[in-house]
Amino acid sequence: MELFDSLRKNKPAVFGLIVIVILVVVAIFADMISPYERGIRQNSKARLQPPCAEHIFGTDHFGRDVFTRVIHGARISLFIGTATTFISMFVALVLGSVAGFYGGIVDEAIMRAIDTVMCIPGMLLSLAVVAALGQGLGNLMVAIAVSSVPGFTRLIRSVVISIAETDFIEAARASGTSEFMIIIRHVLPNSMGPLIVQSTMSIARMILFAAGFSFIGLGVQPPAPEWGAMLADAREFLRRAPYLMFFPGTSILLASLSFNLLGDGLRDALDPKLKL
Amino acid sequence: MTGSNYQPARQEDRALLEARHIKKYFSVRGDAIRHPSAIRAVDDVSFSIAKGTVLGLVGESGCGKTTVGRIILNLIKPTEGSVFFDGEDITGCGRRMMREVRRRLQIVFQDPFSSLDPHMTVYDIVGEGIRNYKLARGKADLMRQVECLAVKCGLSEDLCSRYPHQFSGGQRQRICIARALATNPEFIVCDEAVSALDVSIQAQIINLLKELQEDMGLTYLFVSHDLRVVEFISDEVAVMYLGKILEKGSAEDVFRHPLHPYTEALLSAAPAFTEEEKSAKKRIILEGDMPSQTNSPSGCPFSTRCPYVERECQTFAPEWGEVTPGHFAACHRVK
Repeated sequence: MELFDSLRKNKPAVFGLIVIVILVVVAIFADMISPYERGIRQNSKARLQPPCAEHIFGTDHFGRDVFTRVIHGARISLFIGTATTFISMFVALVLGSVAGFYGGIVDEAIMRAIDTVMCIPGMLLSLAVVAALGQGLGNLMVAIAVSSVPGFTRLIRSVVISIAETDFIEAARASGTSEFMIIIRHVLPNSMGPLIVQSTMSIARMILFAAGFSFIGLGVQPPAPEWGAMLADAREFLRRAPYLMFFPGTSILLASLSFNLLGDGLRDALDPKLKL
Repeated sequence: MTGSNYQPARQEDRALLEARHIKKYFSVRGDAIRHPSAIRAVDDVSFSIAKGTVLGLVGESGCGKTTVGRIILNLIKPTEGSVFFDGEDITGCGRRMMREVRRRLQIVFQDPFSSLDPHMTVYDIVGEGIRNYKLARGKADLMRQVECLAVKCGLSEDLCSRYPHQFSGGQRQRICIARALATNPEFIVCDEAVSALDVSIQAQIINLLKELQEDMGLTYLFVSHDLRVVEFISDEVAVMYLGKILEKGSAEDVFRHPLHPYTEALLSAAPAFTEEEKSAKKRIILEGDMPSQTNSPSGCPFSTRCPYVERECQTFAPEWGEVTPGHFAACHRVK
């Protein structure tokens, strides 16, 4: 509740939170909200229509309702954003806490491996993974997750190291708590603050990343309504139908902006310096 | 060297805990030319504590007091030497035995703010040890035990579902003490347990520790730099400087008739309050800082700051010897 109170004073964060809630609701109830089924049915009679009463965001070059596609796109984008964040967070959590808590040669081994991966630019690494595994939603998620594991691992390791030095860890050890239980019971709950902040920001980054990949044709494959892919399609009709680009583009902007704003707000609210 | 002709505790007062020649050197990495040797945090320290008594360990910051405390709990491994608890060597023992010993050895830390997990309630904090050793039958019994401990340490039982940040420093230290008592230990290391508290709170906590010690027959190693606190609570006192014990004896002997110049200087640095005390006091002001622990002086460790230093002090380390019965010191002047 404390968290919510301090978050409420932060106007941009509230804005972000509201947009995110709307996006989530829209994504969950996409089938009920959207006037046209799934957004993949084509209608050759109504191609490239500008926004009107029947198609409030207009239609694309296959006569598909853009409003429906944008709504279903929210579902895909949010799913990719959260799922990849969870995957990479989980891997990083295991690697980072083991490295930070045990230190020594384990730490050395894990961190040098992470450094090696970090030498490769994230985008390039993801490209390589997609190239190796092939296109598609699942592979795209793996590719994005892999490229963000190193950053998370470093973050978690540093947080864990700072916690591992506190007296309450020593006290737990003196009370006969095993090393494994110390990580589960004390280290992880206390490192949640920065992790929540980073995860929120990361969702924004993942959504952008996924949209980027779909834009260049390596991500979600047509006819699935993905915002990045819709942008790519809209490029050809930029002069005849600029709204085709406007709606998915705005959606990407709003989604990533909201997650970033919320992340910033959470960081202020969870500032470890104010706690303890 | 200091304590090299240390004799094991006499049979009649069997030691509950005994440290034999413990040393802890921290290696200095990366600069082999300027720091050829390691930091000698603890350099050949020996003592024994009889059951039901309190040994006060005093010395200025950085002399290795805290390291001694941690070595005893086996939270860090000594470079050399061993710690005997109830007649058994616990320094090199296996995990299972260490687990059993941990139940009987506990610690209270200096900083009551960083020594409590901010995400846990008093029930979880105090109950952790009870749960680890399965000392409670069921959840209700665990909660009852925690409440009982809290009351014993002067906290109301309805505060037990609160989080550490809702308590004051003194109350937090009470929680720490309750936690240390949770596994029913026989020996507690109080590592500067009252140094972070206000003077008024210090008195409460010291009294609490003393009452608990007397009621439960506990044995303490009381680490502190505060001489008045140590004088009040300790039966025996050891004075540490630069990783070595310079003087050891009953609290009465050490405080009334200090043998070592360093002890004298420490005592003279404690504030005097009554006119009587003030007039009786001669002020010895030590010059300079404690030498670096990487290259401690040859001869007596205190020779660089000692007001009575002689040539002998700088070349030969003084022998550790019993000056009057039960009162030991390592100084060339008191042989």
